[in-house]
Amino acid sequence: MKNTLEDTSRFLMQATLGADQKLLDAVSAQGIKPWLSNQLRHKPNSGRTFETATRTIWKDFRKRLVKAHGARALNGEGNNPALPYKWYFHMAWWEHTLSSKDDLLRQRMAQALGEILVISDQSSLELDSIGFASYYDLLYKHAFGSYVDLLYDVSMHPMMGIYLSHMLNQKANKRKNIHPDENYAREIMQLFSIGLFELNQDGSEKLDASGRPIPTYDNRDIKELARVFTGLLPAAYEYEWNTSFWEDSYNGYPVGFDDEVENAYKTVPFIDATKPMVVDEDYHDRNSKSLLNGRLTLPGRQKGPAEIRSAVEQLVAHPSTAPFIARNLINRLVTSNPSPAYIRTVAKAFGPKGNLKATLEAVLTYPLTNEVSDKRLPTARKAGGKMIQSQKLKSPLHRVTQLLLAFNAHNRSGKLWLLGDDLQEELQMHPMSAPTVFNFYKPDFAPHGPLQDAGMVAPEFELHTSATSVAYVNQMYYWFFGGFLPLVSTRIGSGAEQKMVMEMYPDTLWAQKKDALRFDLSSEIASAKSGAKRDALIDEMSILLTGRTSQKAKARIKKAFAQFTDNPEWVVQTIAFMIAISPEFTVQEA
Amino acid sequence: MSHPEFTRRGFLQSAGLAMAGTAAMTMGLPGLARASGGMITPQRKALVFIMLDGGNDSYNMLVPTDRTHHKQYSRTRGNLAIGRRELLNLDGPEDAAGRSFGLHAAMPEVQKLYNRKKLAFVANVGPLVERLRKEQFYDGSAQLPLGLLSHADQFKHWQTSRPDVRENQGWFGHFADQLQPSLSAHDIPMNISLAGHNIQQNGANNLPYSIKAEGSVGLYVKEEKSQLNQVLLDSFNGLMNEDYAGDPFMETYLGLTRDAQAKHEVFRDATRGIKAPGRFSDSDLSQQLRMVARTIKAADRLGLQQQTFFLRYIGWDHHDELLNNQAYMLGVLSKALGEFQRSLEEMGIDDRVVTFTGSDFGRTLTSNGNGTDHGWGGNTIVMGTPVQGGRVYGEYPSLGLGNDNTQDVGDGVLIPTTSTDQLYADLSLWFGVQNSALNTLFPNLHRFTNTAKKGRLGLFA
Repeated sequence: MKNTLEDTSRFLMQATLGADQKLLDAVSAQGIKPWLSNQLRHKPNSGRTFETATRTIWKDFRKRLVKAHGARALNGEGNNPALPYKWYFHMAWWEHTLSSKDDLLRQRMAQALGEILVISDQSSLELDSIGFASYYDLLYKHAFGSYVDLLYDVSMHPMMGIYLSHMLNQKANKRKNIHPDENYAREIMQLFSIGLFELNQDGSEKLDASGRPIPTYDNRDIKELARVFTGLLPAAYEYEWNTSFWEDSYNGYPVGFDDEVENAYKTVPFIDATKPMVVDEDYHDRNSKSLLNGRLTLPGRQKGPAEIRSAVEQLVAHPSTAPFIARNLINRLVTSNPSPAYIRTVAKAFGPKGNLKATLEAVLTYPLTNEVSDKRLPTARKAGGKMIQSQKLKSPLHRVTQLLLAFNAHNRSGKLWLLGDDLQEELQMHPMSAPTVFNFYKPDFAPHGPLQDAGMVAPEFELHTSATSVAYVNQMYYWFFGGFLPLVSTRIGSGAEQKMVMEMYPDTLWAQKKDALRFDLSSEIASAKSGAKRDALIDEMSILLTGRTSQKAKARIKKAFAQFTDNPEWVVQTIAFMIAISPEFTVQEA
Repeated sequence: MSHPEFTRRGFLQSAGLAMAGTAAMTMGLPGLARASGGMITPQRKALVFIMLDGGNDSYNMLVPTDRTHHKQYSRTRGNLAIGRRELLNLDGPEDAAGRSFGLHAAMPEVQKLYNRKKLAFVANVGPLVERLRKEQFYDGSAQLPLGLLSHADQFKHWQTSRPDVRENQGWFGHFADQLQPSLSAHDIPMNISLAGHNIQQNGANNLPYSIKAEGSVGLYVKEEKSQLNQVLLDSFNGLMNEDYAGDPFMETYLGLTRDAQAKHEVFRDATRGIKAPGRFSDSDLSQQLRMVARTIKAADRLGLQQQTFFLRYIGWDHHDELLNNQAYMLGVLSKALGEFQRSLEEMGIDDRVVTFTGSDFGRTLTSNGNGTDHGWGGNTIVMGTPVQGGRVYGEYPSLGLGNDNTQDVGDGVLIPTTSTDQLYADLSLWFGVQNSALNTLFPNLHRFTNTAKKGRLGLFA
């Protein structure tokens, strides 16, 4: 054994969306570093993209809808039930997350990047899960690549173009009182690169002579940069059905600013949301640009894509970007309150070109030998040769993926097509479903009480309210005692209101024996049959889920099943439930 | 899988669980109370705030209809202008500049409320540190709100009305610090949120109480009692009361969860059986307002006099497809407001409820081709029986550009003519805040009160 199970488990919480006992044992035996190197060498399989998977699932449903209702009933003028709605991407994401074995780190990174480069299906984008999958493929593909490449591709992606509205954006037209759309120009700086304030490499804010933080940009900079993102158009029209307003021959036809087509048809679901946007140079501002006090300059007369590429390169090279993105990734994966030394190490790895592989490696290896927090808690303890302590509240999504993976959530049909809406409703979180571009929680959030008193931030607590905290406990109760796991839908609807889309009624879905999600707790139940093995079982499950054993927690759990030790199934369910709702599980250590 | 049965009785007992550690989360004497003494007179009042998240293009919501001003509006807004005939008529006198007003066609319920004098608008309102002229904006001689034109900051300033600082406590939060300086685990906070955590209701010590459109969330219980359920319940309670002192993450996780369950049991019992009459649409906003109506009706049972509510209607950032998307959303808003007000009237509690909207900012008057960008001042709605409705308060600005408009600082981004401080001062006085406490609550207010009317808008009689 190269690394202890405890150390390995803590590491896997940072590096994956979840691990089962087999993986924990294997990584512990192989050693954390060799496993990490291996994972970082993973290459995406071009035949197994999220786009392909989403399309396959969508086609499956569409075939069923056509068969049941006929094409004529579907291709109506209004809401078309056979459009690629958001659920098909949800399904592809969950199927991948719950079944893929060789790309755990890449998927964890893609999900984390999705909380930085936010687009969301809580918007009109919900009409195009194929576009969503195509966007997510970028996060996945560039997860170990270059942040410049990623940010450029993101900037050119039609889903981002719609979400932050730089698609169909045109250069200023004084006569018509039209100015370039400023939305993307602002957010690419504020959220995707340099942030609001100039930063030192250790993440601290630079201060001016009177001790105030220095804003990185002002509104003039935004207006200047907005001119760069002009002339952008979807690559082509693309819609699946012939209707009174649409015929096949429109598909593949280029979109123009003044092609007399209403703007309502220049967005999803009528365009190809998988190909990068193109630039109509007549609507692109080809004059020179200079912003950020001359730190970002563009000579003009460049083709749109080349100019955007250059702007992205200069933004990523800005000295504030490395510490800004470093802190953001550390927040997602390891700790809410990183030390300056930790940020500096990761920012250095990021460098002026945004080397994500080196960045991720630094995020994950630094904690193996160093304390990561800028404040040591009184409860810090020595383990694995260094001090470790609580670092962050796990996001509701991470808790869910960790539990589903730990206990091998599966179904007989092998279609792990989770709807996601039930999780979103109860926990207020689902991949790529943030309420706004500001993600699910703000970076400076600190709940009242001991965290605030200690001067610490804890963004994930913004989702932990009187409504969601108990809802989470209820979910765990449903899962472990009721067997009511997240909803899986593989067939079209039967209810009166929804016969034209997929089945969504919880009771109907849970009754589908072949498809309903279930845990595999068989080996745990086998262990629980023997009274002598129960202590070891609790330890094993605790280490897998929390990275530690705790006498206090063990006593609590044993007391919980003391009265029904003759029922091993209840014993295991109780252990899982009690761990899942415990602070040892919901709070991540490093 | 086995299905142990949780019992209702078992869970009711959990309401009696000991509250180790709660003190740190909810107690303490707030600074504001120390500063100003009893600054709020207790009375049965409710303020309902609907945040139109993203920046409502409110110059297409409330539009001048007299020929002169509509012509100017059309010229400026170009392809986004709404024709005079498409606007709904608002009764009432012209303003000092000779403007008459019309309303976006998607808002017939709001039109009716306005004409019944149950609803008013406040024109060109926004966060301000001090009054300023256009020249001062350009030469930097006036203090501007931090992060002007950005969502994150303006969203915050609308909730704090302290745009010269970035802070995460809002004026509803200060109310709670004052009126509920210490809450036991079973006391329901006066600040109730339908949108989770928010700045406006966050105080120095107080957190908003989060509920959903269906009500509060409690531990799932089945009716039948069983030995197994009792054991699980005891285990839950035991866990909730374990001591994690020294670990602020674990302490906070447990504290919030434990507190939520204790409060749920009180809230559920207090609202049980209370119905909000009348039809409410299926929109989230309507459904949430139905719950708000029930909760106001239950105020006595909840042991509350004053209450505030926070709702968030997301999606107003119409850089793109403004005309279609905004029409739809204004329609949802209008319906919801109409349904809510009617339900309150039917219950006979409309005399103690005032509802108002806020939004990150107004938007550029000029078009970006298909939508508008981030602006500053905008028009807002104040609704309720106590409101002197049927009027446009404040100063509706010129909608010209450049030299034609003293407020335009570029592309039709308008310097507000009324500060959020003034709007909130009127609302606070109605709510029971004493005049002497206003300047503590809104530290910049004094910069707007050196006028004949002392800066009051006069929204209330």
